[in-house]
Amino acid sequence: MTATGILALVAMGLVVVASTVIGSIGTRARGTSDFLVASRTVGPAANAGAISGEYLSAASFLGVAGLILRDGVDALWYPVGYTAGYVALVLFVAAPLRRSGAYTVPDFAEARLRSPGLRKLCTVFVVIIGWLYLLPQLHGAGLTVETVTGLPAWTGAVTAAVVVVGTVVLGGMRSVTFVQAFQYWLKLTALILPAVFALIFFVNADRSLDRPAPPQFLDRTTVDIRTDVQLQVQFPVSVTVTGVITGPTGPPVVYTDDETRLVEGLNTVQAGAKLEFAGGAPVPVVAGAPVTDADWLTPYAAGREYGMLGTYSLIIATFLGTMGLPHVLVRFYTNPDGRAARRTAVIVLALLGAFYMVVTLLGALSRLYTPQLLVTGETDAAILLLPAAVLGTGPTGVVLAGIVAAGAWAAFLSTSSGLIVSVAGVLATDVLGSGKVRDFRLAAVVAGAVPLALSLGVTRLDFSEAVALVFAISASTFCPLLVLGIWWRGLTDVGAFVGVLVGGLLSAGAVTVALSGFVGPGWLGVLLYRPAIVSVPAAFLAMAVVSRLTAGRTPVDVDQVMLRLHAPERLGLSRDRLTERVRRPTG
Amino acid sequence: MTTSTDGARSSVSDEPGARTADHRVGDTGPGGPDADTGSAWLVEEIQRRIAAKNTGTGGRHARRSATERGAGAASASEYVPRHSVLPPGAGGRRSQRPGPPRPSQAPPPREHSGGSAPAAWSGPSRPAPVSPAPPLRPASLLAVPPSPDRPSPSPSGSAGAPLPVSLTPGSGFGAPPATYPGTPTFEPRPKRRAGRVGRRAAGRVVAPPKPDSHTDVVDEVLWSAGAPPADLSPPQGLTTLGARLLSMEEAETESPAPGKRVRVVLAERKGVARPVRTVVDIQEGTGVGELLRTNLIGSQLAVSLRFAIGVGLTLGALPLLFALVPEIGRLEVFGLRLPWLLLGVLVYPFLLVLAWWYTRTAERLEQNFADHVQD
Repeated sequence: MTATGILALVAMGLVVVASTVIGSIGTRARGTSDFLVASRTVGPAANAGAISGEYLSAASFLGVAGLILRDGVDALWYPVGYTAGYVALVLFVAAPLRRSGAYTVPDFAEARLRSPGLRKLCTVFVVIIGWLYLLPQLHGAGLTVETVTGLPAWTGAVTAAVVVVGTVVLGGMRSVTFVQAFQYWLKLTALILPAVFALIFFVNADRSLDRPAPPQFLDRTTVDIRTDVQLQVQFPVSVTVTGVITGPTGPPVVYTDDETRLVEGLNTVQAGAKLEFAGGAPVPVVAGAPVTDADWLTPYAAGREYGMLGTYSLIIATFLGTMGLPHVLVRFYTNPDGRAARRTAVIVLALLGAFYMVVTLLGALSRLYTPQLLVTGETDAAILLLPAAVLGTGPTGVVLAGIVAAGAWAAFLSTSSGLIVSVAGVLATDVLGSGKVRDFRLAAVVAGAVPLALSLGVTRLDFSEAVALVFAISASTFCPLLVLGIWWRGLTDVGAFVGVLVGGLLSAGAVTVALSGFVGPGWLGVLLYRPAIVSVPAAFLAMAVVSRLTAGRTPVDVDQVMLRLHAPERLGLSRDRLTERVRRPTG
Repeated sequence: MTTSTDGARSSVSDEPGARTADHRVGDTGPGGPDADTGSAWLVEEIQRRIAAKNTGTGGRHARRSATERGAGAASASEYVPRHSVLPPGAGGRRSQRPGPPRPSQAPPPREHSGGSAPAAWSGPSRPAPVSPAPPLRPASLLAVPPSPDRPSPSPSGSAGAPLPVSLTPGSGFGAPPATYPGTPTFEPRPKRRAGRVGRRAAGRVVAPPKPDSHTDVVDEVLWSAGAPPADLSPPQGLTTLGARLLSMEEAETESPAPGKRVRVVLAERKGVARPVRTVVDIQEGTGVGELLRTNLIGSQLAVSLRFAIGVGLTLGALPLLFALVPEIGRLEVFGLRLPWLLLGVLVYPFLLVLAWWYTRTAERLEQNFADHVQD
């Protein structure tokens, strides 16, 4: 293992230790309220830091930069969407949901509509969304460990799962809060440092991204192809190959350490091949991504079909999906009241914006410094490799690489903690049927074990794509429920049930198909990958229509509930459902 | 009587009634606070005050001239005795006189800001630096019905034992109270609550501090139920008690006529978070309440939608723009291509500003609603 690897391991270990230490501050937590909602004893600044820390997952830390590296401007909609989703949450959901006293979306559904069946359905979707979101986190942990240290990926995944479940079981939400706030600042630091260095180098080197030429290998680079990949070659390049390549015309040719030339057109490289490029050689880019830098800088570069459809679907998914994410909502409950919830959300927006600006910069710079990732298309490791590429293998580079690895690690830990807390909360209160702390701990273990098993089984996953799919499901199920439930008096339980079911089936079905690798033709293929533009309106429509049809079933006390959701706290109308629900002394 | 001893008896001497009272009291009192023996003095004092009230003139604390006010910030004109009948807001006064003193209630709490009006019931958070007040002596004040319709309150008639009596006036303190020679200064009670007014404060009296601390600021709310029995100060405190009693009496004399009911608000409602009547109306779904509620929800929805459409249109138009006008993709600003500048940098401050603006608007809406409800 290289020095970088050792240092990175040390750094990641330090993150774990620091998290545990900070988390142990919260082990005084005794009551379920402590466990689940930090007893609302954390201040707004810490809460905002924790929300941001929790929200910025592996997808944000690694995935966004990787996507920018590969897709250019079109990938900027991911971070913008993640941020705008939070704005949608402030506008429509933050204060009323807090005032409802509901701890999770199923809780809110029951509070608003008095339907246990709807609550169960929502629980199912919470668990689905939570586990689907955990998969890329664990995967990212594995990728980080593998990229930086060379250890097998599963060690990273297992370690991450164990650490996270341990933190949650021991300290619950309260410890998790402090840990996540710490991790946000660690992540931001871990990004700003390489960004600063890379920017300095970029400016000094007087290089430009605005060239009608593809990126170039900085120096002699070997690329391992692990899965079949199609390369779009516009500029013929010499390469030393060990493996099988199929040129644009002709049969697959087997090479063993032979030099050949990749000609213009689509070249297919089989898994297991090794390609060695000379320094300065133009990089052959994976098919579907912009080839030249100039194209990459431009929106809707040539070669992206149905770009607008996909973009709008992504916009809808991310704008509307944030409000339904389980770990985001749970965080709102830690605010003292609705007004504070809104204000905290504004602070969160500032923190998110700072983070994503730095990530965008890094993604852009990685086009210069880590172009070899474009060959395989697995660009998620861009930020991890950036320090070494910019600074070389000297001490600064090694330290910086360690810091970045620690930041990535913190990203997984924080989001995974939040997800496990929320999924465990839902499991404990709805499936196991009680609010006892003991049940919560058991639920946390279950909530961590299942995605771990899944992630060890699924070998390849594109982070941000997976996360975008999760957003699509959330936007199709919980967004209509929350928005219509909070603002529309006429929502009925049957209407909500049908709407959630319709949206959930459409989006989850598309996700399943997309993840299994089936690619449809034309716009159908795009929709399978980005179902939100279809499933979200369908869910809203279904909910509205069926509610109208069953108009007699509006809950009796709907007016009072609506008043409670919207009336300012001064009037003393809000209730606390969690403490109402858990009256027994906790175990 | 004690009034003669603290030196500020000029106002009293002007009034026949007061003089009478004074006289009377002075007759009985051996002269000087040192001779106080408790209940006897008290009885006489109360009788004096009744007489003063009946004459319709003020007692020693009558609001007649500013000269008697001692060192103090506010002018006499702003002084509003607690039991003034003028409507709230007039001259900065806030309290109104209670009706005929409620049976078995301790003497209604009254303010003692020396010269200044209780300009604002500024709530419990007004700790004026006051030395702790020695207790008031004659607590059998309670034991003696000063007027026929005042049945004797429960505290024992043990005249000898000084029962500390303290009452809570409710909330708020006046404006920077000026001291007034002879005005007892009382320890401010930071924990006032509205609604304690009507309480049978059969408790303790917070005695006035020693006379030499008159220069301290005074807060109105001086009677605080539940105050621990402080040890009694030497009888010199009685002068100040007498002063207080006089002022109480004096205020009572300002009522239109004995027996006429006047509503007293001893506390300003500060909008504490408890359901008030209008909120109950809203919850019950009656006409006005329902209108208010739908209005609130409708206006909040309108605001949210407005902002959402703003964000949605602004950001949602960008992909269309990029597709339709490819030149934008090649435009460079500040060394960055325009799409990168817009989507990578400028969008975040834009979203932040919008969210913050929305938060302020929504909070203002809520504020209006709450004010309407709780007016």
